[in-house]
Amino acid sequence: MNMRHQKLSILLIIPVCLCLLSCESLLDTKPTDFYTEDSFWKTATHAEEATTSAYQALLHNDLYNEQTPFMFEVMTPNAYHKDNFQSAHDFAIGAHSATTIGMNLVTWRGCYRGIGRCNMVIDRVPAIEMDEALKTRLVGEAKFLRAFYFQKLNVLFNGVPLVVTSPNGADHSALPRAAYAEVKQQILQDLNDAIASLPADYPAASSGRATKGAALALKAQVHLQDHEYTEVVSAIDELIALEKYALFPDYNGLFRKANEGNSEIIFDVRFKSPQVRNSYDIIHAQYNTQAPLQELVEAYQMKDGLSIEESPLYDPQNPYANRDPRLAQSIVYLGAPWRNRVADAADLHQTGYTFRKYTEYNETTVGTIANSDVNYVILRYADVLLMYAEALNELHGATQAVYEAVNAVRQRPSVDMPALPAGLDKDAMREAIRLERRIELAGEGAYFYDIRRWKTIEQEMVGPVHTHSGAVIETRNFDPQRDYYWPIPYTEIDLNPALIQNPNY
Amino acid sequence: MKNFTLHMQRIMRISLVLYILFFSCSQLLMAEANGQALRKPASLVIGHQTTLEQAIQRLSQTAKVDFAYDARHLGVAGLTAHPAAYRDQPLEKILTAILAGTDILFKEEIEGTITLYKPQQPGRIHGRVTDDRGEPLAGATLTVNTLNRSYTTDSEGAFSFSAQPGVYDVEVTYVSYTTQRKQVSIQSGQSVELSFTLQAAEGALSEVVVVGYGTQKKINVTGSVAVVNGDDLNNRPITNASQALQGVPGIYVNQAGGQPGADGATIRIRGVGTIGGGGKLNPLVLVDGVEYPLSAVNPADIESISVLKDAASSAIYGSRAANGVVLITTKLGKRDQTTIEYSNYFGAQEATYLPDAVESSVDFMEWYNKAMVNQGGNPYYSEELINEFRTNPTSLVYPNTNWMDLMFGTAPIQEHNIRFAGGTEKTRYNLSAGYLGQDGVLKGMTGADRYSLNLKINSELSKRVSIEGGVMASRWDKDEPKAGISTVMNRIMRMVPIQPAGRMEDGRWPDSWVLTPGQNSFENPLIWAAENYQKQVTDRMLINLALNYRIIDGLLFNIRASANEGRYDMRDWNTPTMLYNVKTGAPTRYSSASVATLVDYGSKEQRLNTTSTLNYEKTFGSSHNLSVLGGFSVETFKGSWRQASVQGFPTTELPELNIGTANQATTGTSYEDALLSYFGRLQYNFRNRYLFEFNSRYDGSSRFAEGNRWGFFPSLSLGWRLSEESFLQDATWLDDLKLRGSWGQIGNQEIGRFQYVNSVSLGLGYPFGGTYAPGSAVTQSKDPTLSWETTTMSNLGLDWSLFNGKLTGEFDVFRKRTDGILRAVTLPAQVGALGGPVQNLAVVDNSGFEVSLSHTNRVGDFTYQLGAHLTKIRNEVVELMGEEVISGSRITRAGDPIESWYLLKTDGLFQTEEEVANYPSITSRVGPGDVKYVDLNEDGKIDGNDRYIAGSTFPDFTYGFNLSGGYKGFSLSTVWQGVSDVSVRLNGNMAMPFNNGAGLTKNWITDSWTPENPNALLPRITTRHQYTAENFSDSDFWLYDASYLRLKNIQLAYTFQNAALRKIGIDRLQLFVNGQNMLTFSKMKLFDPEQDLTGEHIGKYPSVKIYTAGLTVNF
Repeated sequence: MNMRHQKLSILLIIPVCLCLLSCESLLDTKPTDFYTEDSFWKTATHAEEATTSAYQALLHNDLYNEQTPFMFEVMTPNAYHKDNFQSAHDFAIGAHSATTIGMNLVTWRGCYRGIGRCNMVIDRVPAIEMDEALKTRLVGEAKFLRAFYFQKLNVLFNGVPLVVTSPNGADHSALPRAAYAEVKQQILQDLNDAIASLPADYPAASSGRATKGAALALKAQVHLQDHEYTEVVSAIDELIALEKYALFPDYNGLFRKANEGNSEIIFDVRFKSPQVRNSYDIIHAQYNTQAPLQELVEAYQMKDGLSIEESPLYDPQNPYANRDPRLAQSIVYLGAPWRNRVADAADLHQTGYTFRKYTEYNETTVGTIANSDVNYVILRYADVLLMYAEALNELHGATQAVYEAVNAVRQRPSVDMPALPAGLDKDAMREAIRLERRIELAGEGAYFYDIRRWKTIEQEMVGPVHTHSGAVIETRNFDPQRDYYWPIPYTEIDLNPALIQNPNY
Repeated sequence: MKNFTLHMQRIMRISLVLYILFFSCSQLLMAEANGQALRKPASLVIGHQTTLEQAIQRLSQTAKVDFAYDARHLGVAGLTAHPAAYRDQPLEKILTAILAGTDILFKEEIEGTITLYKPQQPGRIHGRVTDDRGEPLAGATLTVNTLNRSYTTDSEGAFSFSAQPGVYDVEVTYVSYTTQRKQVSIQSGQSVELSFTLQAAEGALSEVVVVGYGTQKKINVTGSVAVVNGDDLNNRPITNASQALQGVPGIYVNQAGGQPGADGATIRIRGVGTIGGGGKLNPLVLVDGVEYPLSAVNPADIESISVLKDAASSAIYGSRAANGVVLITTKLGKRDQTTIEYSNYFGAQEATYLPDAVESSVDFMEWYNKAMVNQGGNPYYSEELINEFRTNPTSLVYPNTNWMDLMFGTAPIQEHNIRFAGGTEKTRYNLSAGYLGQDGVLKGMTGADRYSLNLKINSELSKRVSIEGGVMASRWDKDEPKAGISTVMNRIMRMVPIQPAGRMEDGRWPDSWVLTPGQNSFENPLIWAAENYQKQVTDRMLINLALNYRIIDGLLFNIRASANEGRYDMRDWNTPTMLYNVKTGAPTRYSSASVATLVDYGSKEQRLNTTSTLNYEKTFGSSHNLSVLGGFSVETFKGSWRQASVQGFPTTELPELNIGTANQATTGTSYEDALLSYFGRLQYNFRNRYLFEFNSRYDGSSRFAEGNRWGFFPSLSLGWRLSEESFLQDATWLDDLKLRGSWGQIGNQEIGRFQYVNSVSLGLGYPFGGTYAPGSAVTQSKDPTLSWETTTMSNLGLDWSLFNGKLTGEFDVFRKRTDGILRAVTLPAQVGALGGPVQNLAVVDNSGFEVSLSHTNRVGDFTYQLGAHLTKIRNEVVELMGEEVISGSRITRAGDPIESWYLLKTDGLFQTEEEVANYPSITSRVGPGDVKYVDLNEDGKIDGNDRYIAGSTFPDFTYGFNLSGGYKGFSLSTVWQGVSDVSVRLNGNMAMPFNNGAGLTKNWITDSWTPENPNALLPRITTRHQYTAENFSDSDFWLYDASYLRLKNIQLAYTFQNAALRKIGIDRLQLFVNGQNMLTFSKMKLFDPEQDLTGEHIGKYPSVKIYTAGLTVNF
């Protein structure tokens, strides 16, 4: 008995000692749910995955998810925000300062996230052995996206650090801001590369990728920002010549998931439940945090093409009747059919309005709210036509081509507004185009850039704004010496003292 | 015969227990046989030479009955039977005849077996128990293990009891005296005197304490080790074993909230040693030598807890010991003893603190209007509406809902434990099972059940080889509200009186017809309780097997293999509930979710460990004591989780994954770790007077890159037992005095996996053409050179014991520095918005002292114990590479404690417009009654630059008292816990008025500033809002002193131990009543002061008071 146990014990000791010699390999655990940089950048699949991630940066809350994209509308006379999400309210009332953190930080961070991923593709994909055509296209897509991200930063901050190689703390942490022109030059170069290498369209399975048309539209936007109208016109001429785009007949429907990738869409941010959802439905249906203002509602013409002041059709007791059909298609007002019932004050608890655009439910369906996957449209043909009109009018006055472009937008089947009156002079046409942009693109964030470009922000963002009942909901302010550009996030300056703050902050 | 009888007694005893406990039909076992065999007819012929024994054997054969007897004991040798012939006579008659003339009797105790026995007169054992001066010791306990009985001495120290003839071991125990054991032999009818003279014990210092990979006599311990005796935990409603550490000097145990199944306490040993959260700050917990979560241990199974506080005692656990080590030893039976113990309690719980919310709708609306006016707006609720509420009686349409009363209430709790423990000469065992059932004070949504089982065996196979092993298993069934407790608590704190509670007459759920600004929809928590759920099940099992082999005397080899398995399953069912306008009945909106969602989550983990040690102990000469330990350990850890969710349910009656049709989503992953360790200990002492100890561990971890993965953690300690020195020999009042000092290093590897690998993350996909395409990118910069955090700790301590252990105490001063704290460096976003690399960056110091005093004494029948302890800790961030980490209103920066409150300074309230005009103000709306902020940097503005360190989130002082006394069978014990110099900043719903659409507490109505009430505690009312910075900026105005002294536990018990009970098979019966958290002294009145101090809102599960009563019975 004794001896047997002892032998058993000795038998146990032996494997223990053997393990001493072989166990160290246990410490070599291998990651099972991510690649390492040593194993990545080898195949076409890797190249595609990396490029996909450059698009995915668009889906981040910093850019086009949550309430963030709508905050651009809140910083215009079109809408109001009850809280101070991403300090958008502070920006709207001009109460922001050098230490304000919010839209400036998320936009900065969101764009550099995208830029970093584009840079990885542009840096690493060329060395991968793969189909050359695909390689060229993927790099072209990354260049389009890089240009897109840089353009956003350049307009908002006026010159930012120009990072064009794979992210690297040692190389990039201390880069100072480059001049606006230098960044712009890089943007245009990227866009020209993209125009040269991207296809005009894709098979259905690849729809949503950057196209030649998207690069041309963005190029037009870059030039329009700096009032380079000839370049705007030539880019748009080239875009039109692709013959890929047409206005979608159903104004509200062009934003709907069912019509994803319709003829009017040039570039959009795509969502797909359940993998990538957004919060658009719940923001508009419940939070009401991007509440349209009375100022926007009043800007809609009557269906006779006259303003509410001028038109005999306007009835203050029934203010939403006989209006530009885009009002009811873009905005929910008290008493409007909505989610299979009538919208009441509890629904529209901020200003008496909410946006209908970018929601999936409609007049008769309640919608799930939680599974919103409506796409966010970044560039669409109506926008391009209005840019075209704006540039042509500035170059040549209210020519036939200008009328055609604006009227095409005004007279799509579901809108069907009267054509612009004949004989407008250049200034009157300019006003007409500006109103058209405000109405056509309401709720899409475009007006934020428009009123800066036109400098009308100095008037429009000063003074009180109102709810549906005419009550003052807040008073806004804009300092032309300071507020055309956002403050560089001070937290970024803390991390990189080479960043110089914008003037007057 | 004696053995046989004893055996029978035991059968009867056990069956009685079973009968009582389980109401089973165990009578069969204990029923007297009815004598069938004795009535059997038999034939027998007895010749002249037939011995008695032969006659009985023949009778056994012919009658086919068994006889049981001990021939030697009966003395049958040499006895003959009278010649006779019996034909078909009852056995009983034959036996009576052949046994005539002897003193042998017979009976049929077991059916079919006839027992032969000699009648015996019981003997008597009597005597006295005295101390070494001859003073009688009253109340000493005598235990006769083989009889499984115990007796108590009377006031003269005398005892007397009867016993059947035999040999017995009698053991005498008495508080503060050494146990004495004597053997006594009794003949039939004999009376034996047995006296005991007990020696005073060397106080607490005679204890043996569990240390890393072994045990040590406490007098020889040179490190800082705190011990909790499992007996101190008896009968307390400890719902999570982490609470058992309350009251241990040097340990901060904070139990935030009383949610059933989630009320584990946070344990911080000697401060917060590193920067980071959760696991990085927790101590290493080992149960019977194996890493195991405290929450899975049934507190009733705990024999003792050792807390290794300094590096000298914990360095042997190396890289996981930086936050201290908690060693739990579970119970095991005693030799030659069988115990069955059943204990229970039943009780009730109620919330300690709940916000005193305004429940009148009229008050709510009027005060909301006042707030709006005060902040420059217009009244929101019309006078007509307020009047409508004022003139109508309370109803569903005109509610005055008190949501706190509605949601919280008294909840039952009960616990049952049964333990079978005992042993023989060579084998000891424990088998125990427990059940804890606890409803939550948050009604309808919370509650938990814990089932636990512990089997442990220790057996000597031979003189050199022994084995031990066990299985410990537990299950927690826990109910949570859907979406988790924090969401629902936040919602409850957001409810307002104008919102209708309950259902409408037809069963539909009402929607408020009056809008609550700030709330988009009425998310009625009652609906969450009624329509949705989240069920969580946690299973844990620890399998532990060890073998000891004494190779030669003094040299012991031990190998232990263990598997620690855990599984967690969660099912969350969230259904849409339509609300209907309470006035019109029209459908309005969904309460919260608009679509049914089922989420099914499961995770599992497994930790395998093999540890081998070789231990050599030897005394050279009579003075040199040497002990050497060497060992190594291999530990692997594997875990995985998966989640599936689905929507699109055709009916909410069928909540299963295979019923849903839309938005199916699955995800999950797995991970593993490995740790290889070599460790050793060298102990040497000279005449138990000069003590020396060296501990070290060499750890290799998979958390670091090859080349950086091995770390060496040494410690050194010295002790000097001054009381052993000749110059103190005359001090007879001094039992022990020891000075000890230590230095050592320990590590921390809790940094997440693969922080050293340059990774390309997946999951960054994008839907092209309606199909989600995979995407990958580098999202974090990595530093492959990162390595261990190292904590260097020195400790100086003094232990003393005076007057035979009546006064004992310890004093320790320590200094603890953690170097190379792993922190993610923040990169500027222009570097691709990458997460910064984790690097060894920061340095944090903790220094302080601990003192504890204990006095135990007896005055006549009255015994008492007084204990007190105090710990002071100063925490300071020494180096943070110039960073200031501000998280909300807390800051971590060099020169200040971790996570200090960083707030604006305030100076009361503005009283006049003139005063306002002469101060810099935070907004343009500031007026009389608003908070006055101090322009600390004197730049004429109030902004973030005026913040200062306003308080600490970790108490500077923690202290406690244990006061207990006993008189005869009564005992009363109390445990007090206190902290001081700590603050909490409460924010959010209910802590501030009308926050995010929530209501307000009543003190705003009575205590807020108005021109008529200028000395108010609170500023004039405004809604807590983004734009009401004038009162609700992050300031010290809202910083509360969270110091408290709490009667953590009070227990009154009475123990019955008498002959009457023993007659029905009960050795001991204790009845008790117990109260948890009965008294709290604190300045903070808004919420329970014992809470998550860095959690800034009060939407948290409340702490609870628990009243219980129960019994413990031993058989």
